[in-house]
Amino acid sequence: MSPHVEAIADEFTRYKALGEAAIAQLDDEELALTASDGGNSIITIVWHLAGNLESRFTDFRTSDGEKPWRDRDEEFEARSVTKLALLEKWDRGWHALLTSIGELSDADLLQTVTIRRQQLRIDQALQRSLAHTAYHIGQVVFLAKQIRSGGWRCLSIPLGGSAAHNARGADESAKAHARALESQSIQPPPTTTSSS
Amino acid sequence: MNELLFLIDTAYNRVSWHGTNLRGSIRGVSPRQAAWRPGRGRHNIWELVVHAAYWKYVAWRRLTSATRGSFPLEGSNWFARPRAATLAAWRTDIALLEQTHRTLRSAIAELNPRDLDRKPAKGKTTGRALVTGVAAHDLYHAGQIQLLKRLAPR
Repeated sequence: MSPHVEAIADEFTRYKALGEAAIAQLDDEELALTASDGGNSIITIVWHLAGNLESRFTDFRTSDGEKPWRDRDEEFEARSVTKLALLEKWDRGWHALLTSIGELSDADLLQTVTIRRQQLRIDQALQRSLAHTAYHIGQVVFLAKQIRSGGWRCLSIPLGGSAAHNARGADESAKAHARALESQSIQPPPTTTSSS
Repeated sequence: MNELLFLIDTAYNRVSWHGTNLRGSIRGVSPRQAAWRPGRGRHNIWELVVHAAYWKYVAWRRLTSATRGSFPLEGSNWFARPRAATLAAWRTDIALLEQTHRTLRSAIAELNPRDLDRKPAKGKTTGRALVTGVAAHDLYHAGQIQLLKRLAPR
């Protein structure tokens, strides 16, 4: 993979792994909880994020990123779904994204794609999507930690562990972080082959 | 290099498509709100701000191959806050965040584009990956701060 594309893909992979490691710690009922009146549950945030990724990155280079079949407002409606159904939705979004990124080289990044009828360079579209993803994964992890409370399994350098981490000279690359998180996920999401 | 500066600026304080960025997330936050914790052992907004400043410093240090130990606070990664829940102390830590962002920005502006995709002698991450990571890290915590503000008593 080309270095520029790889840097972006690795960060996406880090946030995918963070989201999965957070979701893995909760059950169906906990995923539907909100932290405040009117706030979004993890289900709602994931539904929105996955819907965004699936729309943007299905036929990424040949069709508008805001698909006619996407209903953004509907993504924020309260819903009751199982963890399995949630992870299937999640996986469809990530599959579309990672498939499209996997087909890119650095030479493609200055080409354009269309999002909401506006032309955007591919590198800008990827960065914009990474920003949106990191923002919402931050919220998923926050809510999961709030809900799980004392039984929370730490997803980064544990509190009080920084000195040992520094002394070890640990690999802090996004790829290494994702690998470490993947190894501790209790229930990895199902892998689908469909991007539709 | 403009694209990387644009990347970290939109994540930090420049108007962006994705909505609230890190600096925007703490605009108007009082010391009391910043110090509020959602539970025992949980981080507050104040600590997230200093943590973000620390990782901007680490990225700067790696980009410039500077030696460890020049961060103004003792310790690493997470710093217990507040030391004193005053407006002056809160503003001091916001200023630290601003300063580390400006310093990192200057280092990025001075990078030779040819070096962006090279790993430093002792490092495992390219300059481009570091900067991409810092931008995403700012937004990861901006999203959390938005939730903390919603929960914190005013």
